[in-house]
Amino acid sequence: MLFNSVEFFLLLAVVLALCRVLPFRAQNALLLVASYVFYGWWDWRFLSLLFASTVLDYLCGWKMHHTEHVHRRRLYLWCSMAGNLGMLGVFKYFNFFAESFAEVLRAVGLQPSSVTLDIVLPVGISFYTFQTMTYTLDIFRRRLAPTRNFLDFALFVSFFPQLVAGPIERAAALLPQIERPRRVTAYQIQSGLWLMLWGFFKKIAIADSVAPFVDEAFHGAGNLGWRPLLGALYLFSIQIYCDFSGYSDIARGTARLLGFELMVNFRRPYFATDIREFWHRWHISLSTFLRDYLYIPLGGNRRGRLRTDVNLMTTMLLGGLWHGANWRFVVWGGLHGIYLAVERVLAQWRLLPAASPPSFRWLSAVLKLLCLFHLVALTWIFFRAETIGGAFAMLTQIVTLADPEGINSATNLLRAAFYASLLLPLDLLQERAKTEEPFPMRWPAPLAGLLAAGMISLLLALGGEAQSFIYFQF
Amino acid sequence: MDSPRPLVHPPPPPWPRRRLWAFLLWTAIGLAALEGLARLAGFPPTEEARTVTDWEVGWLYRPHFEWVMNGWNPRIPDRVMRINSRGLRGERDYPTPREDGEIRVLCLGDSNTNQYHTDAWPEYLQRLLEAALPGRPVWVQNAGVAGFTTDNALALARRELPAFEPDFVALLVGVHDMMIVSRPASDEPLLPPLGEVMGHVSQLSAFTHWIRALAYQEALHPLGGRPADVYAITTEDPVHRVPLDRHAQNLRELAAVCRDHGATLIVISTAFRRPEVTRNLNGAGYAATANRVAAESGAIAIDLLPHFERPDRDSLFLYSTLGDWETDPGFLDDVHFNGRASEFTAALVAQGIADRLADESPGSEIRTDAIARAISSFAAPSPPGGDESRVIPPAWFLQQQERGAISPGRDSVPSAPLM
Repeated sequence: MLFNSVEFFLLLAVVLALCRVLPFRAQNALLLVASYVFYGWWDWRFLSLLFASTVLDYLCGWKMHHTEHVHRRRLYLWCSMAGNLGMLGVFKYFNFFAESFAEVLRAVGLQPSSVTLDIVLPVGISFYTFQTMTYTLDIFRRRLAPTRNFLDFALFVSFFPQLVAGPIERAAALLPQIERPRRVTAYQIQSGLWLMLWGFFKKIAIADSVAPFVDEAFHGAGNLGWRPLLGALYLFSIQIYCDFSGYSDIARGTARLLGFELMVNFRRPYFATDIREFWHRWHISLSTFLRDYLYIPLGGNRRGRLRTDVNLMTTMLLGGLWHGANWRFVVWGGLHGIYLAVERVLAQWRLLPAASPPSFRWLSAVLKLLCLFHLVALTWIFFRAETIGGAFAMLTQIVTLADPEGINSATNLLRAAFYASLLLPLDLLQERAKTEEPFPMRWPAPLAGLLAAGMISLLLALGGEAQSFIYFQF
Repeated sequence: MDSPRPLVHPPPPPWPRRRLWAFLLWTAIGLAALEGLARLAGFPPTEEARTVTDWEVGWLYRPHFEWVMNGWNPRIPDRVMRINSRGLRGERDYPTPREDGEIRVLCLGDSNTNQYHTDAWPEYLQRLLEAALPGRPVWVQNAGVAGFTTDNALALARRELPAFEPDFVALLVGVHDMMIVSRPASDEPLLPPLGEVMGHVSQLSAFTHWIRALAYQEALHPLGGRPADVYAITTEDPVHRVPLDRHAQNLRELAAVCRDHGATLIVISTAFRRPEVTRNLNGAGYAATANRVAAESGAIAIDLLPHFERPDRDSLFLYSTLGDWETDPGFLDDVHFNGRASEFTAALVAQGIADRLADESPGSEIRTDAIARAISSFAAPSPPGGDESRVIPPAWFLQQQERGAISPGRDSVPSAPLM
């Protein structure tokens, strides 16, 4: 079920109405049923995977907690990891690695037979497997006590607002909210509505409107000049941010209406002035997951410069692969790894620009911001292009200012400027508010109401056909 | 064992319930204020009332309805649209029975036939036929309804032919048959998509209508125009709204209905402004099918594609609706003809009718000078065969081409895979 569908609004209305009259335990049961309906709406057969993952981690967590025997604890952890990563490996990565291996064999002159599986990728599998893994990992590290109630745990794994596209919630953050009675406050309702409105605005009025232009340009990239391609790249940078952060905002808003608090997943990443800051602002739930459960266990920055760079690169390559079973995503992650490593080296060698005088600070920040935005946009080419070759060709066309007669208009650049003009003022106001709570919450009611009315009108006027969220495929 | 450390979010700040109600109230006031301002400023009424459901045909215009097209936009001339009692464009109903010696033409089609902004090709046809057939009464009935496919047109023909008793039935539909949909009509979802619901809601509001029409079309169309771009996007496995085989079957049935009522069918294959749209929608395949069915059933075939194909101009990214209002030789946007193209289309139809009348009753007075003038005055498009590399080839099209199912030249479209 998509957030931007009539079905979702009906489901939400029923759930909100029933939650007001049901006691706490029955609310949890209702939310669990609603979550399974939400997920099963897409394909009910894959509910079995969700359920299997839930049972496995519940049992592993319980057993692990109730034994002091180190080897047994490790065995239960491995069971949990093997189950979750195995599921991910089969459904998401098997064909990719099988095809890549076959390519290698073909390159050395062998003729391997095809061993790919005819399966579809279950929606959101990367999200809920990672989320459920935080449970067993934290129990193993003795940072979390397991829940006794299986239904509570099942709701933690399948909680519908963030089930298919995050944020990837930690068990330590979400489970306590499930286990204790909730009281929905007026503040949660109002801020939840704001988050939902802002999310739908970004998704429907901006990301969906931009999508056709991006699709067309990336389809026919080989024949276009540098202006439409650069414009399409800017448009995709806007699209992916609005699409994904829009989903996260809707998820947070929906959760608040139900009395839950989800973590902030995006903090206006294009306002970052260095790549580390970018990753503190972009898909925060994934970047902190990778930091806490991969980078730090690998040694983090505690084992020398070279090892730190290797750890960084490993983390980013795997982070890239998490996004999709394709070498394009690996290249995307690798580029970010290189950026991080180079930035570290430049900082160590004190080659980064020194602090500017106060009067030039804003100018310096804008220049850094623009520079970083273009570096990040460059990586989006690999993220969105249909092939790696296509990505390099597009990059070449932009860099060499390819100018085929007739199809080098600046239309896409103007489109990007238009959609940025819808997004920027609101993001700037949020950035200046220095809080992740919706900035209009501080405004007088008449002003906030007028802003909401304007956004609703724009949403209705610019909204088009519902498109699925980009991040579902990951 | 370390003590468990739950991650706790800070509690929400105290928030009196009246603040929530005040916010909701002011949002409602804001919506009402925007709506009121839009209406006070004279922005046009919305479109939702224009059509009514017709269980037999699908939908028709609301009988006796009239509205002003773009009365608020100085760049587009005002136009009053009037609908007759039968739900078709026209000041009044056609009289029954027909006069002796009268020539009647029923023009079936979609918005391109109905036309909102200019004289439609049936109006030009009326004038051209009156000039060509001096002394004979002529009634050309515009039966174009926006969004019509051949399914709708066939149903409308079955209803109108017994009463109207036309000599000729001219059909210009195809765009909506060709349109690529994400799922076949038989697999419609239980609930409508949110975008559709939002579209209906937005049509209740003059303010959102104004944003959509004025801000969107004025500001965004010159930058590219989304609605028509949708036609250019294809999927890996496209599903046409009316697939070719049903399209052909509808044309055959229409020819049979015309035959039963003593009318001659004129099939006009449609054309698009951009070659890549034609390609993505398999315009050549639909045109070839129309021509073939016309030849089989003794209908008159008018093929617009060769006259409108202009591969030497207009890439996807130069598209501009209003920028071309006065300068484009053929189109208002990607699919709708402007006045010149409407007149040209009418002239081709009039020529077909004149030829058929001359064959049937040699010696009758037919003056074709006005028709010839209209045909020759339509600016000859640049010859096809421009730089093909400028056309953006969609992945699906290339795939089909590799399989040999479709070839870029319309003359070499193989018949088997298309029919």
